[in-house]
Amino acid sequence: MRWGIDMACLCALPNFFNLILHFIIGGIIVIMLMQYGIRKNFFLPLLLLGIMFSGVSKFIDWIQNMLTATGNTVFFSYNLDLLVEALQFIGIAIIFYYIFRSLFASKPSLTKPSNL
Amino acid sequence: MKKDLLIPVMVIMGVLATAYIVVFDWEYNLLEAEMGLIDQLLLSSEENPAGLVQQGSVTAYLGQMIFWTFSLILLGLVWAGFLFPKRPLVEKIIFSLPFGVLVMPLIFVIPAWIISAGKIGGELFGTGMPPYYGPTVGKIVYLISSNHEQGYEIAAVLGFLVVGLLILGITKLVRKDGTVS
Repeated sequence: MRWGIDMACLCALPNFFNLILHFIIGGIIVIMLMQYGIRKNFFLPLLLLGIMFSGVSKFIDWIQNMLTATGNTVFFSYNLDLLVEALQFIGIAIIFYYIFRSLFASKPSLTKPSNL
Repeated sequence: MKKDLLIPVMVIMGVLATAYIVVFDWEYNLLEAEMGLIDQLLLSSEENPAGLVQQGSVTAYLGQMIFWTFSLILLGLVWAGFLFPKRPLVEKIIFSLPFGVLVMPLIFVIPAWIISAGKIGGELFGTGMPPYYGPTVGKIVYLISSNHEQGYEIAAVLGFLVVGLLILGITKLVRKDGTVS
């Protein structure tokens, strides 16, 4: 590493850390899946799918940062950028949908209906 | 330290990161202020014939990623050592990465954020560009184009590391009942 060349800027480092966090969270979900198995509502597998979509999006984003940092021009591809946004959107949508569904799921009543 | 501070610390970091993202995204996307600046910084020009981005190889790039990842995880583990010592390692690492990203560019991100916020405020309220915008942005551009910013990043991380080690040492020395061992 040469002093004075800051290739860690350009959003590359936050993207790289984002990727690491996706791996950590994905790993935790895989461990939970192995321990608890697939439940009826498929919460964990779909959460994992959302993390995978989001993670692939961050990976492509990071690759674009790398092509800029190591190339001679600012690398920008509309198609790749759209793909990044679409994957991120799908991943976040899956994650949020299942988190909110589990948070606001209707719970069975604790009292038995006595007048039936 | 008796109280576990993971949740409050993460909330504060989230608020700070959101404030940064909102202001910088606003300036970048709506006011389109930085496109010319980024091109000017990154690409070859008469003032900066070498450019800023054509000096590195993929190996050097990956080296930077690995260097900063381990440095910032080390920094985060030191701070997590007294903020929430009983938390598992994976939670400390999850805290370390965003904490490091906030600490590392602190010295030029704070002035950049202040002038961006001032500029957005000026646009919103019709008062125009704040007078400190030009000189400050000039200094930040000079800092980056002259490749001095990495020195400040290393200084910020080392500074936080020393402060963290000091606090960690003090908390280890001072017992729960207040006596010094």
